[in-house]
Amino acid sequence: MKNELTKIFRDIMQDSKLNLLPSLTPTEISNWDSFNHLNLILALEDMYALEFSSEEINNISSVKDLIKCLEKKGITSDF
Amino acid sequence: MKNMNFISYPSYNDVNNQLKKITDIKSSNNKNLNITLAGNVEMNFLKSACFLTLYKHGYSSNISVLPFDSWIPVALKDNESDFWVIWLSSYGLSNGKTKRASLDFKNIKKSINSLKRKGIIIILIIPEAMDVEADSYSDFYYWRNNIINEIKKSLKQKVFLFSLDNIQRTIGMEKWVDNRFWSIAKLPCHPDAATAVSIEVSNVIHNILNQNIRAVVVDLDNTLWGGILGDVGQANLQLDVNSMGRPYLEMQLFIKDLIRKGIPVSIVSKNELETAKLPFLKNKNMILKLRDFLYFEASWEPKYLAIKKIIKGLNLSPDQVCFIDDSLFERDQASQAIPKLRVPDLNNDPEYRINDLIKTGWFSFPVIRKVDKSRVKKYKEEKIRQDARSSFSESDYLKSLKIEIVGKKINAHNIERSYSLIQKTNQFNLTNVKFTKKELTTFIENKNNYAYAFEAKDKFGNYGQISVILIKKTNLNCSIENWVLSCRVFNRGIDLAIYNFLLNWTKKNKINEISCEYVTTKKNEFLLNFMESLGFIKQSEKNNNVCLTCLNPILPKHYVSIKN
Repeated sequence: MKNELTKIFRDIMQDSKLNLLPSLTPTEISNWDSFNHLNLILALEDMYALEFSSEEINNISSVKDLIKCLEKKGITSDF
Repeated sequence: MKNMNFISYPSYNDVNNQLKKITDIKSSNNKNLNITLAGNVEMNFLKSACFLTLYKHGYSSNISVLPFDSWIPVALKDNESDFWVIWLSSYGLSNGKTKRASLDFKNIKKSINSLKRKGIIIILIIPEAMDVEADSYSDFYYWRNNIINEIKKSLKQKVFLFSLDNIQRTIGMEKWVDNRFWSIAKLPCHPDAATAVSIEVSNVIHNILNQNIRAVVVDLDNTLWGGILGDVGQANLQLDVNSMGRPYLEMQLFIKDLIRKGIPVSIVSKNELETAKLPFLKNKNMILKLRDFLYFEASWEPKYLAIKKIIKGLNLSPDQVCFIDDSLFERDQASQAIPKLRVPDLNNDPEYRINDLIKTGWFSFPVIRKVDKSRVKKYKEEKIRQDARSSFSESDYLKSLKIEIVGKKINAHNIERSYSLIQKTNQFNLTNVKFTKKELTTFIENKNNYAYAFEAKDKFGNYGQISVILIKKTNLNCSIENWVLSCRVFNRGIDLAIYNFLLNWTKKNKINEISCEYVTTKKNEFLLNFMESLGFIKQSEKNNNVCLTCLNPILPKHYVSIKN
């Protein structure tokens, strides 16, 4: 999961050197604005064929939150 | 299984991935467009698909997205855009189905009027159906339809209205609806659905800029009626609306509607001429009548011969003409003989053919002007002229036409037609610079620029506006910034008369030298010889640009009288 997630983050946030750490939040990753937040969600929904609720989307405010959310949906973490 | 192949759209993520692969954005596409996306929704989700669709049509576009519901004041200030796309969403108007407000018409009109005055073309997406309308008696249904009626009543003349009904039907409400995106991002549907909206709106932009096909040639047997006329006789053709004739009559009405929109239609059929005309004279079920057609060609020769004759008679290029025939053999033969001819594939089963035709996008005409409607009449007059021609010598014929041209400065009355003439003309188009409406407005506002539109008539009828010339004056010199002439009036001295008009103007303004930059394209090569015959001399040449100047004009003889 780590590799896939890193690739998606690098792609959407347009930062090819981004080192994805669970502790990172939108303020620490450039381009992680509300629009790209949804682009991220859409890419993940497509990739893992799952759906986030609006509440989940709203509550994700760090990489860690996102990983937890994915784990809850059955995607095993290797972070 | 149904034999129908409806359009399917790429997903939002597909579009973004495709876009990443395009690296040569600037180099390959030279038509620039400035587009503003606005509305009471988050239009950012439409940006990528809009760019990609227009890119595939050959444009490089510069797209600005206005923040949610902020467009009304911005519209009053914008001077840059060529197009505005405004989505007035039911979600925005009802704030996510939490109220049923009325529209702020006063300010919407004010902003739209302001955009319109600056020559910006507006596509207005009207309120879309919502999931709550699954209840046919929903209050939202009545509320939304009232708003749509109001929009149609007051804005129909000013904007291109775009309904989402068809997209919603095509992709299905299940894929359309996603309330999460309204709550989080003010998007009234799933981003995949927004992508479909963006693609279709961009296609409309392309259609507005490019007039589609200009003439249609259609077959008879098994296309306009069921059965082979020569075998079964006119009384036994399938033309009964309550039986197997329905799809053929649907095709006839489709063709009739094209004629109404200004597309001349001709018949090419393998039949005896007199036999081929019989159903039109005798069968009461026929929607099309003989007088609807420009050419009626029936013989046993290969069809491409007649098609070539029609293309020549109309003075069009093959890619402006569409050939509709049910037979694969005939379609193949015509395509091979006339490679650029537009030949749509038609289903063997007539039930699906209108759908086949619509899918090509060639028959979508977002703009129908009064002049477009009268075009068929003009083509008919032209055919009478050509028939008259054969009995005269060239100069006697031209004299006998008694052609008159009138040159008028371009103003609010004729700017629309002038713009459309510049856009549509590919053959006699000196610089091939296709001004947008805004650029044309800016051009005529400058007092050093002179822009004239020409109308012409002869004893057979009115040609309407047929030419535009744009001149820039600098002290004692002037340059022709562009000159276009409708291909309908070639070879009768009208071009020379307009040059005559220009020379009168240069004399009055004490101009010493006329220059112009001629840009070669595949379609306007003959223009260089023409300009040289008027006294223009080549100064320099780079790539496709040729600089021409003229100190000693030559005016060949013509028989056209010039009125001011």
